[in-house]
Amino acid sequence: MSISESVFEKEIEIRYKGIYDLEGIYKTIRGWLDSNRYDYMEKIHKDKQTNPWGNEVEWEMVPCRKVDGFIMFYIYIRTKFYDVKEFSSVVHGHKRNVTDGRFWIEITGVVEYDYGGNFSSEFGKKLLNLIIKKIFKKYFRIYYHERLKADIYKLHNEIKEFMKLETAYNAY
Amino acid sequence: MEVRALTFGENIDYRGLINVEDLYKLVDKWFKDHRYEKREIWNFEEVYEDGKQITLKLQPWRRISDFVRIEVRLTITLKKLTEVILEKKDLKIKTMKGEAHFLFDTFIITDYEGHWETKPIYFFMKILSEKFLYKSYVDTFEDVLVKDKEDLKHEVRKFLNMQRVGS
Repeated sequence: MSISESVFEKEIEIRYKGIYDLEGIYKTIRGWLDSNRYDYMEKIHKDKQTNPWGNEVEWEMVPCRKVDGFIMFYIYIRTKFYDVKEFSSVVHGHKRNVTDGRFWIEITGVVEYDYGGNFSSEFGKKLLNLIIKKIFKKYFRIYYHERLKADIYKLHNEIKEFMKLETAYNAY
Repeated sequence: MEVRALTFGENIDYRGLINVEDLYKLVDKWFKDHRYEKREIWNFEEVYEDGKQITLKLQPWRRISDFVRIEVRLTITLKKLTEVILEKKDLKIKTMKGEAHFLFDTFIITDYEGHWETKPIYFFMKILSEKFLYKSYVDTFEDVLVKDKEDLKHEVRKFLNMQRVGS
């Protein structure tokens, strides 16, 4: 039996409207996940041609990382790009494909305990609940939840830096 | 979870030069230095014909004990931001010009992990203890929270070079 706990009460959200690099955002997220040893998994990858203003692109990624034999980190990333219109432009002297439109990115994280399902008996379930929710609760909160939170804010900042947002900074 | 809004809707309005990067750094560092946990709910940036619009909603919190935590909710709206280049002592400085609106709300949250909400009798006991036994204990953090909020407001006003900043 596995137990999952969310590290955020609410997702953290980035919204943008203007000109951006769609492929670059994907590469940034993917590159960060690979360099931080997260196994990449993609639940949804949609590209719809629904209206004359542009395409609708949607990604849902659930990368995970095994911390040890008992704990696994999950990052949930949901993105939606609206009115996607691609065109070529010269950026810093190089010809590049850029995108005009608007999008949002939502990120949240979950810590999963006993992902292997070793505590599956009735006694095991009770013992697991006692360990996670009572005895080592503070230790797990301080050690693992904070680690995942820090990872998510690093990814959040990486996206902001790539997008060259004015608020691309993380003091934590 | 019991949420008590201590101050609600206090705001600062400003129009003029703003260095958005430095403003964000100041706020983020201030929360870190005052031992608040980071929580950035919104980060919106939209480019319009009359300039950029940035909306930020930060709601960091500080754990006081297992029962009480304090929160400052800061909503920043920056509108009509356009880039300007200033010349200062033969140096060219890139900054921005526009309108800013800061909204400060503060909250005291008790039983934030919901331990006392699992059974009706626990909930009843929590309400009784919060009203009579724990009231003075929880009230002591009001001063801490108000002081923090005033300190942050002062820092923001000082950063924007506003008049009547005070000491």
